[in-house]
Amino acid sequence: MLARRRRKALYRDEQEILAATFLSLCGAVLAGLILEMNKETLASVAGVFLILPGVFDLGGSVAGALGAKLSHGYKAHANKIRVFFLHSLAYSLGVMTVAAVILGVFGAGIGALIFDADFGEVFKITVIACLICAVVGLPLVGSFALSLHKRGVDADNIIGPIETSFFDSFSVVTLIIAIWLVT
Amino acid sequence: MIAKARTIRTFIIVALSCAAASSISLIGGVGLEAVSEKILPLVPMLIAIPALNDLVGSYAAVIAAHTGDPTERQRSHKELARVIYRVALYNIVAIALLSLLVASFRGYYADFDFLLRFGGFVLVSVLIVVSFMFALAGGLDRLLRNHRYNPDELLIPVVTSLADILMLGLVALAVLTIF
Repeated sequence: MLARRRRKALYRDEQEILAATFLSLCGAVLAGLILEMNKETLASVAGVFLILPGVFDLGGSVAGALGAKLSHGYKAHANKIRVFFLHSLAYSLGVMTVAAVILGVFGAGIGALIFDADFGEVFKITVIACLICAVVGLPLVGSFALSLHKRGVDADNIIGPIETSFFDSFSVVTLIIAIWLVT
Repeated sequence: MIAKARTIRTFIIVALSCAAASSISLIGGVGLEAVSEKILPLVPMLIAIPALNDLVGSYAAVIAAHTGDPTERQRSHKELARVIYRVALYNIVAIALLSLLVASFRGYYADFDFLLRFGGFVLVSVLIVVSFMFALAGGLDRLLRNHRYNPDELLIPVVTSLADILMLGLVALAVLTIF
């Protein structure tokens, strides 16, 4: 009886992990396609491939934290949800801005030291890409998490792979926009 | 006043943690930048990079969360490993197939030799990284508990960052040696 329950729980885990990873995989392959379509633009500036993993990770981390915060605070702030949403969004935007500046300094510094990249150029590209990600992406993810809760869906199970997929593709687009703006 | 100071302190800690985690990924980015010229013609590899990076993040969160969960410790580590490796095999096939399919739509022709090398690389790299994550999560969990730290706060970001570096390092190594 215990063994059968355990097997059932394991099978359920397997299905959930498979569904979540496959969903984020599709978004990541889309990000790869956008990367490939714009490889000349990305390769035109030294240091862009260096900051690429950092920009991917930062967007995903902050968005994930915002989604979790909104999910967990939804019931407690149900009658002041708009204020709670704006407050959480402003907080996440602030975190993203500060983290982007620090990432920009490190990325540009390593790029300048090892790959002879232009410090100012790489720094501006990093910060602009992260800020565009934040200003456009975070409100979308936040609104999506809230709309899931309004429909009675547990966002914790869904928001992770969706925001990862979205931010993977969107980070590549924002990097390309940032390169166009800076160069 | 105290609540405001606490909020500011939390804000600074969160911002620094996010910055630190993403800055650590730059180490993997060094490998990517170093082989950027060689990697550009390898279209399926370029398409697979975000997928491999993403896979690492997803599995790191699952493995670290299950490892650090007190109720999960009672379940066999082997059971979780069996589930994760089985799911990883499905993901390996999906990444390889999707990358090659998308590359073919972009006009890239892959001969049989390249197919073997690319498929083999995706298989071996994902298995190495997943094994590394299990070993690291287990070891770190024991270490943190022995020193009376809460593993929940550190396990996921540490496992994700280090596994990220390993995956991108394997990509750079493969581009230099296999392709």
